[in-house]
Amino acid sequence: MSAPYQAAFEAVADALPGNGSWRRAAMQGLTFPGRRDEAWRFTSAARLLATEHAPVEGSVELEGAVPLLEGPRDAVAKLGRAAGTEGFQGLNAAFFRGGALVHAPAGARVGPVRVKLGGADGLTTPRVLVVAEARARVEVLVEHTLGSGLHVPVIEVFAGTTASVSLTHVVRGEGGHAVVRIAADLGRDARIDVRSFVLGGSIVRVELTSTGQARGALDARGLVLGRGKQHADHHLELQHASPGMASHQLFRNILDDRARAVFTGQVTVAPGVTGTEATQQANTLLLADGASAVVRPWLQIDNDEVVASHGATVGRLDDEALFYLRQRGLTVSEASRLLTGAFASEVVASVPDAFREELQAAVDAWLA
Amino acid sequence: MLELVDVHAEIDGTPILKGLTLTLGAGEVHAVMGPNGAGKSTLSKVICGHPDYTVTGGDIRLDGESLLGLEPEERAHRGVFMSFQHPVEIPGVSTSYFLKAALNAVRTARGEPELNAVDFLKLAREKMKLVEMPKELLNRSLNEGFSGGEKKRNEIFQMAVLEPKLAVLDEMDSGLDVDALRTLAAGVNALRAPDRSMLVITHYQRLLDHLVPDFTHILVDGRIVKSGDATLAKDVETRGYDWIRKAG
Repeated sequence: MSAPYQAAFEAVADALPGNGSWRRAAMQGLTFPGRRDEAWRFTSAARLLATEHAPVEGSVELEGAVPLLEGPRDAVAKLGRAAGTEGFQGLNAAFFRGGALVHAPAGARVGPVRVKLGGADGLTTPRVLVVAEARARVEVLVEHTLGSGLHVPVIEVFAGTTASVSLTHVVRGEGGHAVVRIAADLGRDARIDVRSFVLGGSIVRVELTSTGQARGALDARGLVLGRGKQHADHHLELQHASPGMASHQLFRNILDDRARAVFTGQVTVAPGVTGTEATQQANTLLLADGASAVVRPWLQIDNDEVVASHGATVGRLDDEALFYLRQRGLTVSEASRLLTGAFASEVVASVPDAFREELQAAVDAWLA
Repeated sequence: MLELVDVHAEIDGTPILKGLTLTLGAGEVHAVMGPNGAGKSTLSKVICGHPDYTVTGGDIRLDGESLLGLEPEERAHRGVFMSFQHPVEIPGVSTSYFLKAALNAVRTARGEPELNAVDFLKLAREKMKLVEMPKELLNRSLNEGFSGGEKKRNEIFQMAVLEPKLAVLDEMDSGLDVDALRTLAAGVNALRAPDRSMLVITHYQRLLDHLVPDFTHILVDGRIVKSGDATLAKDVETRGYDWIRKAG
């Protein structure tokens, strides 16, 4: 039996745009995580591959961005420099047809930019490339609406020297599966903020990797709202590759029914890389007995000169807080809604002004 | 207005109230004093319907209607208010947002129209003066990072906004310095009204210097063992609880 998607690739390869040899190499090297792969221990790659979906072009709507392959050559040349081709990313590298480029020349302010990527009843593989040159500032929202198939987008974010990029990332959808790779590359003294919201989909994995130059800082926050049998996995692999780098993680899961969330926040500080700082908070609110969460901090620090902290909590709504609100006249459901919304508020509040209202509305709608 | 008739209550199977009887008339302020473990906090919680406590006997009636089958919010809708000994901190919920929701829930239950944001703010600013509560607390998360005194001010401020029929003040003096105690007691005194009863639960007599009750009751081992006027509190202050225990 041939590997998944090989035959489908041969059928469409000649019609795909861009560099054929890159695609072919990605396809030839394509392997998927197995059951023993620690990074995939709590999300089943086999289930994502159980159905082989026909590759299709999903919808791409852009506001303030240009179609990926129509951008300036220097910017487009960064494709594949932050993301790799292993695992599901390889599927994207082989099949992607287009997507979005957000490019900010040196010193420019670009945004708010909106990129809306539609899933479909098939395999969709859009790519987003965000390039902020030195001193530039970019604000971008990438929103995925899943179809019933498999959505495998790759988002590469480059922040040049002292540049800053804010990426607000939203996954919605009734059902459907997604593996999203966000690969961040920090220049010297650069900053990248990622705000990741998983509000829908049936199995959704968001992978965030980062590396960079001296004093680059990544601030990653996320919110999962899960109900039914939704499964949401935030998987972070952050490299503190240079002195003075910092990473901050704040993730909140709110889970009802039989929903499940997985959070892995891997931080690697290499030997000899001094003066770095890593913080991590992962908190889960369980609204039903059947809901569950797995949280793994995974700090790998081969170094004494680092300031690191992490904390994780899994709990239910606080009974004393509920009683307090009820004593003041709120019903159980009003009080629960207020407390649940409050649990989400720290992440929502960190979204840039331009996008905050719509995220707040999405959270409110979920709670209602 | 409030009648507790032979109330027995327990938590986790441990009996705490063992036949407590107490009646508050409209407009009256009653103080309940007692040593640690006498059941003071249990008393306030069973009146408000805290789910951890089970009433195993007797009845609690407000204006003749039993409260026992009612949820905490239904009791609040009928005008029951409790000032918490330890008000909870709720990060992410602003004090004003919460209190407006609470007020409108209570107003709706009373058949009054809801207040809009502007009218609510006007009312809130007015009532904050009563307890000298700093204005900026209204926009902060509920009780989060408030000092002990600010939390207690916030409780009495909420009482002023919600205008309850029955106020149960559970150890409102704990953690307060003398000045704050005086301010809060003055605030509570200003809220005395012919149609509002108050049950002031305290360990110490000093609160009752500022908030002079119409009646004082001594609670020991789950029962009221002695009742009197405001001077009873003074006796307790000088003689302790033992003489009452022995007499009871």
